[in-house]
Amino acid sequence: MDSRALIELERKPFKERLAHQYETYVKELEAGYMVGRQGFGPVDRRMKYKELNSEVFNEVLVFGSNSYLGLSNDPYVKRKVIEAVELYGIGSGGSPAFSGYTKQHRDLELRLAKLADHEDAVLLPGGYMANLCWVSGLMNRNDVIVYDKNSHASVINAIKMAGVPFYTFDPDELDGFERILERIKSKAKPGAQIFSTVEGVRSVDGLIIDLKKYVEICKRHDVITILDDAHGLGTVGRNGRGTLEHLDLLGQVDLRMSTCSKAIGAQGAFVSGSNEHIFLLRNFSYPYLFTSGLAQPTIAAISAALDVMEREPQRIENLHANVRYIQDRLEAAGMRIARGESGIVPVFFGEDGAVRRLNKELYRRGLFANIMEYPMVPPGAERLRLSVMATHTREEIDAAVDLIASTAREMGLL
Amino acid sequence: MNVYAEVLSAINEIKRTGFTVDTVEPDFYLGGDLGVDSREMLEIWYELEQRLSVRIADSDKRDRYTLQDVVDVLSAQLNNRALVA
Repeated sequence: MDSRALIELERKPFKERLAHQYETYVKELEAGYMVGRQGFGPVDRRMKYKELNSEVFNEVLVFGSNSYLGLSNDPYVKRKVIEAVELYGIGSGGSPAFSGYTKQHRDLELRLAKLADHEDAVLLPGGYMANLCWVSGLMNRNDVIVYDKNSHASVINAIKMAGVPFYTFDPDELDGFERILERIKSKAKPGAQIFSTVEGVRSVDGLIIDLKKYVEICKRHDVITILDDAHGLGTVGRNGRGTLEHLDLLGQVDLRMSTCSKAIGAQGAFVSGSNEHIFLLRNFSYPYLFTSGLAQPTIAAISAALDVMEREPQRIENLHANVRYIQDRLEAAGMRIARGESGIVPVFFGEDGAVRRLNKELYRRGLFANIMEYPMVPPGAERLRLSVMATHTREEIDAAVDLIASTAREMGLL
Repeated sequence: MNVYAEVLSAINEIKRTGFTVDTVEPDFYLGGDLGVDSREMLEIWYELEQRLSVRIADSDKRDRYTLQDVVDVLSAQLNNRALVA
């Protein structure tokens, strides 16, 4: 849907709009629309999936899971979760400000903070909430935020909710970013604090920005920095500590958010920073204060996943070796990709609607992948987004690449 | 046709604001200076397309940060149309 059609739809009365959207959904479902494919756990390299309009679960090769280290079905993690349930039960029974905060939460927060060389952290139920948490806890309409144009929808929503004046920047144009900061400073009210956020590993293509230069610019202009490292934790850095470790910048950003639902293979998210900044979030940020604390099995799963990451750095080496291998093979097969350093490998097919048709056929032939289309990515930059796992075997990667190449060729896309 | 005035008028209509040529400058940022987010900007583009009888491709609507950026895209499209006519 282009933006004109979107606006025209939004201007219809609610009941007309609802009827139109539901009719479109039913039609797409009948035509084999694939959003909402239903899996049958556990999440792993091979899984059973079924389409919405089918009752049959078929096994597919999975190249579309964010469980980059294969930890969501790891025997050690599962055992630690079972032990925790025996010891500590399940739900937290309340928000962290009331009864929902335990020693297990505290120990995990401190451990997560150390990953970025920070002093403290707060845990939240998901990445969306974590982004709402730092925006609404730190800033108000007297401050200014300058955000990465690739920022997640949750960051943008949070900015609107907080009412903080906002500017966008392109992380590939850091000189332009500095010019924006200079302009803001020349016009800002005295005392206005500038905040800025940037994605470490970019979710759309797996590339990493020149974070060192970004940090230097921010320090020069007294900007408080927040790194969104949702896709960086567990996928980059020698020990999987994320973008900061990878670029030798530990302790160099003011705050860092990441999720525990991707490479960590569990659920939840966290924001880490100095004692002062985290004090502010813990005591004044509504998304933290008014949400139940994470359940004990989740706390245990995250802690156990960190144990594995510390003990088995070879998982991260395997992930990188697999990523390089699939990148080489895709390029050798004539495909256009972006060579990132994380587990995300985008494969571009510029023709309008091509990735949707291709992905449907790949799924039918036994490969599960995801696609990104406009407006998630610019028009013409539609892509198949492959997510590689440390546990994928060479045979599985070969099978995936061969299937993509042969299917794309048959469809005239290669 | 004063494209700049039309842009301000469209923003005022969608955002219910009262910007005038005396209160803003062409180098003002849509977000930080005028409070227009990217989602609202799509509505403003739609309004401008209706008013000026032009069509702007979605790819040309992206990464436009200032009032002048918007004026430039519209002016280029209006000039193209004039040349074709």
